[in-house]
Amino acid sequence: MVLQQKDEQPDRELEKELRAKLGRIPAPLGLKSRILAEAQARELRKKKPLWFSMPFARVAALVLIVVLGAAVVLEREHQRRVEGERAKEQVMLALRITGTALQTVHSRVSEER
Amino acid sequence: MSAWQADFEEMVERHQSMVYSIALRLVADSGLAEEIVQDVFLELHCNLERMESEEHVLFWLRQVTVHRSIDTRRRRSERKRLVTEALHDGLSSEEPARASPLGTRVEQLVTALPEAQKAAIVLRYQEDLSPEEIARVLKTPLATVKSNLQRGLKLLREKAQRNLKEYVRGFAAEG
Repeated sequence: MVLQQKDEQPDRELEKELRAKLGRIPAPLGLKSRILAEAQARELRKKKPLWFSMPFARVAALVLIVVLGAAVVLEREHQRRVEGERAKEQVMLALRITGTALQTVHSRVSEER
Repeated sequence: MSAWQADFEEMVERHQSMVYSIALRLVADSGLAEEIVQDVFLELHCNLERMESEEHVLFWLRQVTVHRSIDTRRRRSERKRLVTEALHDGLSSEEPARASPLGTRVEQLVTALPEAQKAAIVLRYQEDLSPEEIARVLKTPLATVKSNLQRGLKLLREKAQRNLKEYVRGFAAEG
């Protein structure tokens, strides 16, 4: 298609020149391989679960493990304390019973005199 | 591998030179042009399922390449790379050596055109698209495309005539 111009001959020559000189330039060597490699890498990244590829999610998981571990340790400490309290109460009860018994014996001995 | 994977590789093989040529002529920087080619094809890879035919792919590639090139050029500062070298490297080795100043300068003159005219000229004379097809690719009215083509040719003609005069003057001085 020739565009309407005042001087058509020079334009025809110019258009001919443009068509001849504006041919396609071969793509640089290796460009296709780079494109295909990147496309494949993106496909692989899509397949990994999101959390796996997120650094902060891994850190959050680590923190959770530490917190759970600490909770277990604290719970055990608490249990030990509770058992300790129970043992102490039993000793106090035994002492009270012994004290009462001794008191009774002392009273009887005093009466017999 | 899925069928699309094989098609994608074939599309890259078949159209990489077209995309590279358009990008290089619009951004005048071989490094940037390569980046654009990679971006365009990776975007195609994400949109493969939407492609309906070979013609659709061609249209899509041209449209995305032109818009991406224009955006890239606007965003980055213009660097005058050795485009002539890149262009000459890309030409066929069978290309006969041209002594005419018009033959060696036409590509440089096109590269120096204003953006809108350059895009129209490249699509018209490199891709052999009609003004109607160019209007669809560029998403501009047909009248605007025709005006840009006319203005682009006029500018090229004026610059080429100026260069020819300088060449003749220089040739005469040497003689």
